[in-house]
Amino acid sequence: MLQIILLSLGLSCVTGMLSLAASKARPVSKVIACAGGMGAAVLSFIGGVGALFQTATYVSWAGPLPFANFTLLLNPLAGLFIAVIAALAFAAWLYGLAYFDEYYEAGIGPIGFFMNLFIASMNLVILADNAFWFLVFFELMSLTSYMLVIVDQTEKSLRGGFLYLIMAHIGFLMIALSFFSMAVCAGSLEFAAFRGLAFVPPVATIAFVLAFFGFGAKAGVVPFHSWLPQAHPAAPSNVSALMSGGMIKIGIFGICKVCFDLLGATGGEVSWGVLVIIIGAVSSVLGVVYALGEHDLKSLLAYHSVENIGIILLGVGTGIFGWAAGLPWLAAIGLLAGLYHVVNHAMFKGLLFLGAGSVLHATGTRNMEVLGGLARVMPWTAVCFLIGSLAISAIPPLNGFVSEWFTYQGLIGAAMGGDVFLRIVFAFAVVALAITGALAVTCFVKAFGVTFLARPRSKAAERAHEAPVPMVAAMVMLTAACIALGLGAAWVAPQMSDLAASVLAAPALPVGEGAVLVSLDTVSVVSPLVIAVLMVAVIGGCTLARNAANRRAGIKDDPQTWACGYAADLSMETLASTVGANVKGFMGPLYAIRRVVNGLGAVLARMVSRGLSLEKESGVCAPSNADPDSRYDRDRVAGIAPAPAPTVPLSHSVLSIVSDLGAAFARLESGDFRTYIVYIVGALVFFLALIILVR
Amino acid sequence: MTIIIAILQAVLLVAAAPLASGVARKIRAKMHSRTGTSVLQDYYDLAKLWRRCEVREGGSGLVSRIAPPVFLGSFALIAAGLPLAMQACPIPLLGDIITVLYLMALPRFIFSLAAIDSAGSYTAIGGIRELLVGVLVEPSLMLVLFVMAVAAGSTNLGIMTQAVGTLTAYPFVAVVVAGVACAMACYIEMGKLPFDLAEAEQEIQEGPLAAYSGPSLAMLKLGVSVKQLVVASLFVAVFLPFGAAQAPDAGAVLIGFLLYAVKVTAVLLVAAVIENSVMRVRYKYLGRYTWFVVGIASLSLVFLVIGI
Amino acid sequence: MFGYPLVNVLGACLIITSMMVVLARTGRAAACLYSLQSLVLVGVLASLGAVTGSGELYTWSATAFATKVVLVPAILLFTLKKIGGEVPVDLPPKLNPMKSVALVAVEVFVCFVAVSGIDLPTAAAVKPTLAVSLAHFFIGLTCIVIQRSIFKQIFGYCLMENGSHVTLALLAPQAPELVEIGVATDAIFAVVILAVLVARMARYARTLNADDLCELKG
Repeated sequence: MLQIILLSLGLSCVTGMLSLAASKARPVSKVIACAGGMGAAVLSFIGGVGALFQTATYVSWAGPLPFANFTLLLNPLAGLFIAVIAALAFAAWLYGLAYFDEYYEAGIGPIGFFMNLFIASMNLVILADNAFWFLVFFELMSLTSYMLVIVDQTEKSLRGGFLYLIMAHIGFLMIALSFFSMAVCAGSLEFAAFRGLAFVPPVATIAFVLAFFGFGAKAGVVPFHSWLPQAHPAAPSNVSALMSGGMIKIGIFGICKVCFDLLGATGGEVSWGVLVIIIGAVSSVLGVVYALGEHDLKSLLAYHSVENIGIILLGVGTGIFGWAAGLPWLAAIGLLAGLYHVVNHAMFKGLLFLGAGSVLHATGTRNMEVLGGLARVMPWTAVCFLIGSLAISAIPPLNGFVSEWFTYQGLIGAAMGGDVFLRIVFAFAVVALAITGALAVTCFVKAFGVTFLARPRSKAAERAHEAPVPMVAAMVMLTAACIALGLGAAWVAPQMSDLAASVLAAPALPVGEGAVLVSLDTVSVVSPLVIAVLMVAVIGGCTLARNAANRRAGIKDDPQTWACGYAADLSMETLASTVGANVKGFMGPLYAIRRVVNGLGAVLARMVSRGLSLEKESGVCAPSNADPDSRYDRDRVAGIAPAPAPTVPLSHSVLSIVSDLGAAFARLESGDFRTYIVYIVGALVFFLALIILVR
Repeated sequence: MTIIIAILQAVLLVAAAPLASGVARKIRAKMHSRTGTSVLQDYYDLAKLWRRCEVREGGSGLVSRIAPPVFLGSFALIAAGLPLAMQACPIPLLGDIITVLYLMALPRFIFSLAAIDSAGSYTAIGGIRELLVGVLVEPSLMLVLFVMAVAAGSTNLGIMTQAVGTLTAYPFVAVVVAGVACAMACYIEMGKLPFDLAEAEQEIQEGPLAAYSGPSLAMLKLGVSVKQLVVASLFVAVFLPFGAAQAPDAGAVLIGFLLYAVKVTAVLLVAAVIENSVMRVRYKYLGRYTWFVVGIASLSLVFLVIGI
Repeated sequence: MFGYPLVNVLGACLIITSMMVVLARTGRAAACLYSLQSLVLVGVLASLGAVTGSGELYTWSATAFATKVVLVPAILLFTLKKIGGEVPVDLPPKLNPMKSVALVAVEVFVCFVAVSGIDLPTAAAVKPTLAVSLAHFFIGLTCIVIQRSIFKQIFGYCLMENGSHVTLALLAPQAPELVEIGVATDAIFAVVILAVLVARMARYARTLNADDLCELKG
């Protein structure tokens, strides 16, 4: 299996170089890149799926430096991620056969080269078993994807790419620190050495936390997520699909690898699992809430990636918690939920990004406010996008529902056995997941409805046409995968359970009997296949009855929509901002903290660019007020303008500091006796707690 | 045997839904000192609509066509899985709380999508309001069901029913407070006054229902009534399971059905009296009520955690 | 379901009723709900007496019935009548209901955490009720802090009294009757004095709004 994957890597590199060489003859270059890419993807898919059923394969060759042996490890976890990336890559290349026609001026040769190199470097990151080569390929992955993000060379994409580069390097730094802290204890950079050594708890915790935030920055976890909605929309749509469905999963792969594999001999702490769960819950709610404020189709999908990474982290966090607390069944179901959602998210997010790319290809704009009525002229794209929307909203019986069902069962099962604080944490996580589900329904009704339904609101939407055959074929392939992963869950879940068992080195949890999914701990069953059959039967019956009644009574088509005595015209239709405004009305505080949450990335970017003296004018980090699209969303913050530093005499600054402090303290004296009561009680409680703690 | 009970439940709920809304209408009339229409009026309305010609508006496509069957079919499917007559689910596959909650999300999705499809502004506003009511009620419903799941030891509705029915659900007061919170959340979800924001007749002219006519409108009206009955039945099934059959033998199941009918009638009578005493809440103040219900649900969580 | 579980259940009802007192809109409703809450309190004391077998607790519950269920609400309703109609008594609180409920839940939880660190032999089985009674202190304070109308703030003071009463009963069930008489008279006199103050303030300042009274507006 490892040989097959190495063969596919070689094919990717050769294809990339050939396509770069042929970059003058553009159609030839495109076909070489796409055909070679598809071939490489098929090979690595076969290799990845094969590795799921085998035991681990390990090879090592001597490298150029004594600490840098070229070591590769292909275990079932790696096999899963390689298979997922390969499936997405195949769809992306198939899509590119028609989509890259738009990118002839941007340079199809370099695009083919960088994209092949990107996919190869992702596979190598997954396979690498030496810290040095892991970091090298990680960096290569970031650089090649940066090149793909800035391929348009517009100001927005340059800005997005720069922010992406900075966040990727911050992540890289944290991961490198984590590996080096482990290497110092182990004495070598080989992962095999880390695996065998049981680290002391403080070192293990530092290594885990650094790795979690480092890989989290790559995965797009709050507060390191601000690069996602700026970088993903700028890249070509099939590259966005690959980045959003594949590259951010490398972050999840890294967290699982560090926690279960490298720190496996140490055992974990329960607090790691709780940290991952809390950050996952916050990430998922904030991601979907901010997605609701977007009117750019691809930014909306990018924020949804933040949300789904949060959901994956809920599952993985339950797995870490169960593993550290010595509850193998809980760890198994949590990890199973997380890994299943990795696969599902890759499939439906890839599908949605390809759909957005088809819309962009047909109309030339991503702005939902001026689209509409596309379902009539692009029926295949519309149906695929609808199924993708249903899948991401976790509607039964599709694949999103299955992985969220397992996530819920893991969280509730953990709460049943937990103590006081843990029950509160898991209750918070369950409620966050429920809010996320309801908001995702709202967001995708908006995304699909405003883009594809009603009537066209601009010339661009009227002139749209169905996407070419390769693009439709790629979307249909991913749609079929979504449906198959949902209906066939009873056969896929046991494989995932075996995979989780192999990662945790624990016995496998039985999760499937026949066509039914079983959760033993929470004593519950579900069967997507049976639900699908029943739904088709019942809804089909109702439809047939209604159609029979229609045939008997007749149908009249009225081209005019009645709007209470007015003839409906285009200005009365629903825009994306309508839905967003409603949600902002109810969820105001969450939007107010967006400045803080998104601001971290912008502040770091400003610091770095100032430090490198890269911007003289209001270059990279200026607010996007000049961007005409942003007038619809006044709360969006792209960056903070650097404030000019006036020269002030020292006495003035001392006086102003003192008066500011005084003003702040003056606010403490409110003049209301009730606040004084609160102060007295607070002091009392504080001193009592101090007594208890000291005792 | 249990399959027959499931089919019977679904058919019974669909058949009895117009009667329930007819009775609510009659109570409103009596409270307004009028005679009102007969309780069977909704049946006459549905039969009349079924025979009418359907008008399809310009611009609406496949989604508007499939919305009425999906709405009715999903709620009929949920009804088949609830533990109404027995203290166990007739089809355990449909009886998991996560399955039920997400199956309720499907009709909401398609209904709001169809509302946006019809290109009229009033229908779209109604659809968006329906989505937002769902968003605001979902946390409290999920929290209540979480408390019940931990109290009963399973996420299956049938096992929860059995735990409450045999009084073995452990933190007793937590279950009672959760029941109060669930009653409030289900009332909001039912969409009765003061929370009928999606079809606010005087405000947005019937909302999304304005786009339909003929058999589609009949199916959608029936679906809305079935939704109210199903949500009320969810509350009755989990928190008032007393009298339901312990084992699936015919006599006990029949008694269970009769007692369920009595219980749900009582719940609907209380709902009808409340509905006719208040006016519609202002849309922008909806958040206060829903967050209040979340507060009560979190109080039940605190009781669960403390162990009272 | 007798014995200690009954005490715990009644303790939970105590929380629910005191939350209703905090959320009550009108003064009359608050007085009636306070009477109900005191009835639950009497039940707690009586069941504690049954469980610990201490006769003093029965006399405590009887005197608590006389003072808290009958006398205090009567005094407050009388004060309401004396204030009459021209001064607005029912002012909306500063926090909306949801936040009040959430705050109460947080306080109960925090008190439970605090109590779980305490190990007292007399209170081992009734830890939840001890947490509830400790929480009553904070719920009473919450009522005082968030209510605008000083009439409603009297109820906050009474809730604090209830809380300390139940704590005393839980921790020292064998305490002599003299202690009980002292506690009861303290409660009655405090309420009488507060009621007289509120009535006079209503007559002279013509407002019961605490914000206005702080600035001596009339």
